Amino acid sequence: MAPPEKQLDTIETVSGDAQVAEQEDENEEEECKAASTSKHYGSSLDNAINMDAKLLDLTLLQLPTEVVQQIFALVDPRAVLKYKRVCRRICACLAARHFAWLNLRSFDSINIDNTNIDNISISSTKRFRKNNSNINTSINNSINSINNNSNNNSKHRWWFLWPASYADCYATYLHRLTRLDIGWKAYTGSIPAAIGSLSNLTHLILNENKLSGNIPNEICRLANLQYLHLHANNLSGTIPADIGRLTCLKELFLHHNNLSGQIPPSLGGLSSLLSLYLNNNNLTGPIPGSIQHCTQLKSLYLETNMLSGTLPAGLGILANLRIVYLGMNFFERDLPAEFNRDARIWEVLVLQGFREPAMVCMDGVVPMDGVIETVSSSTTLASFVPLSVK
Amino acid sequence: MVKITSSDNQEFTIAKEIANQSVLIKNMLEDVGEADDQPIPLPNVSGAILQKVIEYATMHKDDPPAAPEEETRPKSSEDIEERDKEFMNVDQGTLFEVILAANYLDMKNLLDLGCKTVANMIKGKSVEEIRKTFNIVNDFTPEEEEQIRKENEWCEDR
Repeated sequence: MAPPEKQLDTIETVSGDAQVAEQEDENEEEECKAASTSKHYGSSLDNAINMDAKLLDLTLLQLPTEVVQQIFALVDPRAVLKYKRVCRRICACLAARHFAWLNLRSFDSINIDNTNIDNISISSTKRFRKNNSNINTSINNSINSINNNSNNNSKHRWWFLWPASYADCYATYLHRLTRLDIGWKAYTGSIPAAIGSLSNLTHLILNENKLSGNIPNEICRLANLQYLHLHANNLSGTIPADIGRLTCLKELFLHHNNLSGQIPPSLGGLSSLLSLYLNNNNLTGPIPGSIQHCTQLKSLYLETNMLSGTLPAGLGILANLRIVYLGMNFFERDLPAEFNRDARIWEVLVLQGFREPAMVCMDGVVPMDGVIETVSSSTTLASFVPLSVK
Repeated sequence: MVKITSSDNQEFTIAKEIANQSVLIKNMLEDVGEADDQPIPLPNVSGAILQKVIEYATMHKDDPPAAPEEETRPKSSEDIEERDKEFMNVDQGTLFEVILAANYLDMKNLLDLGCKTVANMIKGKSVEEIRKTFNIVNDFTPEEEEQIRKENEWCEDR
């Protein structure tokens, strides 16, 4: 049981201590300590034959890594990572991926803030313990939803704060989850990439929190997702490029964040999409022409961005589209010539300051300033804010 | 009866059910067979610590066998029997020696007990208190430490 690896750990630590003590050259006791531990280390190699027992005080750092991990794994997973700061050795022990698993295994024994631990953790942890290697086969059907009823001190908030090793592990506990409904919680942190492994998820509701960072592209792996509500957070970065893979998605709510970049062309893959809210971000570029494939689309909120270009003619063929808000952007006012004037949306656009395409004469392009010039899109929309602002 | 010898050549003669609490010794006994009455050498454990370990094993000789890992309740470090608490009321050096011996001898219950005992010494303490308690030298540069502190700011006050 005493492989050389363990002993190496010890050597490193001891020599590290000795070095520091030497450098500082201030504390004799410390040097003594370092010296004695060095001696002890040497002695353990020689089976401690000649050493004075008084000098043999073993220290925490001389325990093998797996034992140090086993000890720290018993400390609350919401607090233990601060001990990374103690020293390099402990930092390495706690940073190991394996440690996250050990630590979260003692999860439901921890009585968080003296509140009852909610069902999800207990049952899913049991499941996890029962079948460590094959989580899929062991199912607890009673738990598949996390919603706002769970306690505000719920562990789920830690998910957004933990490093990836913990988030990955935690995701396996939640494997069966179909609804993750934790909006309006003031949670901070960022959305873990591990969320992409909750393949049964239909509802991902994280709106009105204080989440920051990017929207992980892994979210696009949630093939059953119908409702993606990430609005009113501090999310930045771009809309995930593969968002169009969410073919079941009905509501994509990303409004009131700090998202930038272009609307990804994959958008057209959202064939079930009913509502698209991207308003109040910093999005640039045109509306992708692929939007014409979102044939179920009823409402389109894009106002208050920095979008530009000509509106795609495809908007005119979306038979279900009723509500369109495009104000406070930099769109070309001229609609494309092929835009279907019989589309219900035509009038809506005209009211928002868009106009018929310029007439093409034999002599060339003659700009026609339409009578609706006085209606500016910004004034039309400035007084209208469709959803609550954070 | 089983004979074992410590790193400092002290010989102990113990009942087999006590010896069997160490998976290491149990396996060794199975390997060498019943007939062999040669003492089993334990070069990684001193006599003083071996005595302590035997004390524990004797105290727990009537315990039901430990359940397989995956069926045990999650561990809570609060959950320690009074007699075990008393048994572990030793100086840090001895505590760590016992843990190391339990790890080497493959005595799960004793290792768990040792780990819980140390975990209870850690819980609720600040980073500085941990360094002081366990006599650990901070080997980070101030910049490195600040970086780690920032990354884990959310749990610093807990």
